[in-house]
Amino acid sequence: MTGQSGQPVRDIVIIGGGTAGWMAAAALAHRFGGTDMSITLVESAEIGIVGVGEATLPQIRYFNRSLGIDEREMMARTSATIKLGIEFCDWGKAGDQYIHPFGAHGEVIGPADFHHYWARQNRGQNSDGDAHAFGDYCYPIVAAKNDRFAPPDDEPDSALTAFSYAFQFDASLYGVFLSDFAKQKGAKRVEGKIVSVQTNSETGFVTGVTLESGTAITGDLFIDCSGFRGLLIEQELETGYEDWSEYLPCNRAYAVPCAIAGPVGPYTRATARKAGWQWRIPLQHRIGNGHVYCDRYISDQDAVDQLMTTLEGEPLADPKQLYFKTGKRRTLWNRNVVAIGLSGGFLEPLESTSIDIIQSGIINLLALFPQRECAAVDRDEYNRLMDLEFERVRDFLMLHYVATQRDDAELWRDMRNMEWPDSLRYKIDAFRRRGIVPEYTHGLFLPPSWLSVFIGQNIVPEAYDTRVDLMSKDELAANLKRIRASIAEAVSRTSLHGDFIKSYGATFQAADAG
Amino acid sequence: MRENNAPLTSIAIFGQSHALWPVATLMETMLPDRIALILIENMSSSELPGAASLACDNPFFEQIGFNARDLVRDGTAMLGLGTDCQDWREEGSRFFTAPSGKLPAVNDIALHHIMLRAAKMHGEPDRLAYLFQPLRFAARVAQTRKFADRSDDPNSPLRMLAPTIQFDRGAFGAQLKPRFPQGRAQIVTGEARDAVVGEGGVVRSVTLSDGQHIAADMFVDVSGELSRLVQNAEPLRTHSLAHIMPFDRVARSFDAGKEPLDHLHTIARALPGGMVVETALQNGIASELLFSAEAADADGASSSFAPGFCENPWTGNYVRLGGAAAQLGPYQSADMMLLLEQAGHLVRAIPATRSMDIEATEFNRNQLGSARQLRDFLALPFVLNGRDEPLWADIRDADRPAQLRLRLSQFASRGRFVEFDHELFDEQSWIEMMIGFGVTPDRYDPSTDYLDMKRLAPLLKQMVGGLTQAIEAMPRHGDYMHDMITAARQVK
Repeated sequence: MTGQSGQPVRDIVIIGGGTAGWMAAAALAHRFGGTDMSITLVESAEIGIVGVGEATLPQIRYFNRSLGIDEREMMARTSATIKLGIEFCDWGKAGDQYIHPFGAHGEVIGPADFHHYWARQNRGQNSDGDAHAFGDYCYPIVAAKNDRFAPPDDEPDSALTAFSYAFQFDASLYGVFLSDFAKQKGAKRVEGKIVSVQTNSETGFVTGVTLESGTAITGDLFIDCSGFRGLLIEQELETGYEDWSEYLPCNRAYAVPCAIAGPVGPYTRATARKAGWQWRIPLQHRIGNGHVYCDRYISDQDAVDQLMTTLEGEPLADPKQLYFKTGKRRTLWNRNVVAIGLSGGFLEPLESTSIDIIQSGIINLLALFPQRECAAVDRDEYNRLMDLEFERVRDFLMLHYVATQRDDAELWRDMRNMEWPDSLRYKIDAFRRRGIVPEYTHGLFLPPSWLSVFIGQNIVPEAYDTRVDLMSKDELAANLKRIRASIAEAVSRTSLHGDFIKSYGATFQAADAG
Repeated sequence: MRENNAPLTSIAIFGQSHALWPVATLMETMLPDRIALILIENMSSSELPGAASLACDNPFFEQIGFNARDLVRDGTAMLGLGTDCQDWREEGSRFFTAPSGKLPAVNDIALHHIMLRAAKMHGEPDRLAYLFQPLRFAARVAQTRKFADRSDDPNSPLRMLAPTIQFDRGAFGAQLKPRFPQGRAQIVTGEARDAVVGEGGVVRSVTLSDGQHIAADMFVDVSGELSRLVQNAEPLRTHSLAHIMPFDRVARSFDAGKEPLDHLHTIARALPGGMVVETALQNGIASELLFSAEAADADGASSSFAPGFCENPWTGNYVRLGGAAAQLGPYQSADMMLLLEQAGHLVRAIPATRSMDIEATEFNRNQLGSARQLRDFLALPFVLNGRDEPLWADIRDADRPAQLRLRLSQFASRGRFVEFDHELFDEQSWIEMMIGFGVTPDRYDPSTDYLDMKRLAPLLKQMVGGLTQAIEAMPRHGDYMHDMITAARQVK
C-alpha cells in the first residue's frame, strides 16, 4: 500500500493509562483508526495515576475539536466547569489580586498596542485621568469576576469574540472518557504490570515489554506515559533529566478535594503562600485544592495544615502527598521511545500547563510521525520543539515568583534575589522600562498572558510607545470609557456560570463516574 | 550609554533621497509633533538607486497611507506577480516564484504530500515538481502572461494572488517628497561626512560636507556610507554572506531602449560569474548586476558590494538602517524589504527619553530576526543552484545558516515546513521554491497512505480545472497595465 521508501510503523505501544496515555491513544486512534496500524495501551490497575491537571488551557478545545468530541458530552462526563482564566491572589504583595485571562485586553485604537494607551492614562505625569484597572478592559476578566459566561460569538466587532475558554474537569474522568473514545476507534487496552523490557542489542531500540502474566507485547514505536518513573525513557534508556529546581524550587504538594460551599466562579485560583502556593479548582461536584511547596521552607505537617485550614468546604478525602522534581528529560524522544506527560518532565501546575504540554507532545509527534527506524531528523526536531515549549513555559512560571514585592518569607526573598535566566531578566526589564512585551509566534503564553502577570504583579511601564501621543487626551479618555462600557454591557447580557452549564446540557451526573 | 532621562526632542535622519523619504515619511506619520525631525538629504550622489519589487499589501504602504498603485498612476511602476528565476538550476531553466495564499488541503494533508505519493506510486518521485506545477496558481498566471488583482472572495482562486509593485526606488522617493507635510521637518541638503561623538558614545552631531553641524538627540543613518565611520557606544557585529553570495561588485543600469511589454515581471537570472535582477518598468528595464570581480568583467561603472548584515545597527543614539546596516542585494528586493522592516521596528521602538538602551536592544533583536528571515529565503536559489561553474558549485557546498539548514533538512526528509517566529515569507512560497529547486522529500505524510487516490484524482482535476478557468478569464498582463496606465493619464 505504501509508496514510502522506509518501513512504516505498524505497532504503537503506549505505556500507562493516565491522562497522557489516553490522550495519546485517542489522538493516534483518531488519526490511524481503521487502518492496519495497531495501537495498544498497557496499564495496570495496581499502579495509581497522578491525575495531573484538573485545570486546562483553551488549547484543549482544539484538541477535542480535532477529535470530533462533543464538548457538552465531555463536560457532562468529566464534571467540567468553564474556565476563563486564573485568579492570582497575594502574588505581587499580600492583598493583591489579578486574573490571567484567556483573552486580550482592550482593542485596537491606534498604531500602538492597547496597553501602551492604558499606561499613558495610568501615569502620574501627564495623567489624563483615571485609567481604571487594566482588567476592566478585558471581557473574560469582567465576566469571571461576575460569575458569568457565554461562548464567544461570531460578530467581528463584539467584545464576545476576543477571548477563549477552557475547562476545569476531573482529569481521571477525562481519561476514562478518552479511553472509551480511543477504544471505539480501535485502540486496544491491555491490563497488566510490566515486569521486563526487551531491547534490540544493536540499535538499543525497545522491541517489547513483558507483563507479569507472561504476555509479551511487541511494538515499533513506544510512547512512555508511565509517569514520573519513566519506565522506558529513564529506567530502560537512561536518558537523563535536566533538573530545574534552581529556577522553580517547589518540590512537593498536598492535594485534597472539598465540598462546594457557594458559587464557584468560572476560574481557577492560585494563592501565594509563605512556602509556595495553593490551588483551588472548582468542578461541578467538588472543589480540587492543593498546596504546592518547597520542603526547604516549610515542614510537611505545616504544609498540610496550611491546606486543610483554608478549605472553603468540608474535605471529601484525606490529603494526598505528591513529590516531584521540576525539569525535563534531556531528550523527550530517545531512540523509538517518546516520553509524553510526567515521564517527559514536570512543571508545577501554576498555569495549568500539564495537559497542554501533553497535547503539544502528541501534536508534535503526529506532525513528525516517524518510520520504523525513527530517523534522527524526526527525533531532533521533536526534541527541539518540545525543549522550546518547556523553556518558554518555565520562564513564564518563573515570572510569577520573581516579579514579586513580597518580603514576608524566605522563599520569596530567595526568588527575588536568585540568578534569573538572561532571557527572563530582559523580558522584565523591557516591560518595566518601555512596556515591551515578549512576542513569539509559537508558544503557549502570548502577549496577553505576559501583560496580565506583569501588570497584575505591579510591574507597570515607566514609558510607553511614543505613537500613543498621536492621540489627544480627550480622544484617549473617550476610547477607554467606551471599551469599559461595551465590555460591562456585553457581560451583563450573559448567563450566570452555573445556569450556562445547565442550559448547555453539560450537567454532570455523579453516576457517570462509575 | 549614560543614563539621561531628558525627553527625546529631535531626530536627524540622513541619506540619499531614495532611502531617506520612505523612512522620513513613516517617522512623520507615526511620531507626535513634539519630536522634531531634521532631514538631511544627500542629492549629490550620481549612483542609481535601482528598482525594487514589493507586495502591494506590504504593511509599510498602509502605515504611511499610500496606495502602492499610485506608483503606477503617478510614476513608472508596473504591477507584477513575482520573480521569474532563470538559469539557476541550469542554463535555460525557469522557475517563477510568487507570493501566494495557501493551497487547500485534503483531510488536513497538504497537497504536496499527495502529489509526492502520486509521483512515488509511479516510481518517479522526482516528478513531484512536474505534478505540483498545475497547482501553482500565481506562477501559472504569470507564465500565461495574464494578470488579475487579489480577490477577497474565499471561494475564488484569485484569493491566492498577491500582486507586487515594481518601481524605481529613486522615483518612489521623489513621489513621497512633495507629500511630506510642510513645516513638519527641518530639511537640509547635504552629505553627512563625519560625526561628533561625546562621552559614553553619544553622537552629538553630524558634520556635513559644507562644514555645517547638525545636532540632534538621535540619529538615523540611511546613508550606507557614514555608518562605516561611526564607531560609538559598542562595536558593530556583522555577519558576512560572502559564502552564499560571493560577489563583491554591484552595477546598476537602466535601459530605456528595452521594450518592457513583453517582459513584465521581475527576472532574476543566474550568470556564470554572478547574477542579475531585471525589473520591468513602464519606461524601460532597471538592472542590478552582482558579480565577482575575479570571475567576471562588467561593462560600465560598478561599486563595491559586501553581502552581509549587522546584528546591532543601533548603538548608543545612532541607528543604521538599510544599506547602512546590511547589504543583501536585489534578489527578492531584500535590501528594500529590510529597510522597510527596520523602519517599522524603529517607529515601534522610538524612545521617550535620551536613555535608549532597552529600545536599542529590542530594535536590534527584531531587525536581526527580519534580516535572518530575508537571508534564508534569498539564499534558497543560491544554495540549491544546479550550475556547474566552480563559483556556483562552491555556493552549493558552502556552510548554510543553521535556521535554513533545519528548514531544508525537514523538507527534504518529510516535506515539512518549519515555521519560525515572525515569518516574512508565506509557507506556500517556501514549499514551492524548495520543490521548484529540486528538493524532493524522501517521505510524505504517512496519513497520505490512507487516502483513496482513485477518488482523489477527480477532485484534483476539478481543482486544477478551476484554476485554469480562472486564468482563462483574466486579461493579458500587458492589456491590464495598458488600460490602467491609460486610465490614469486620462484622469491627469
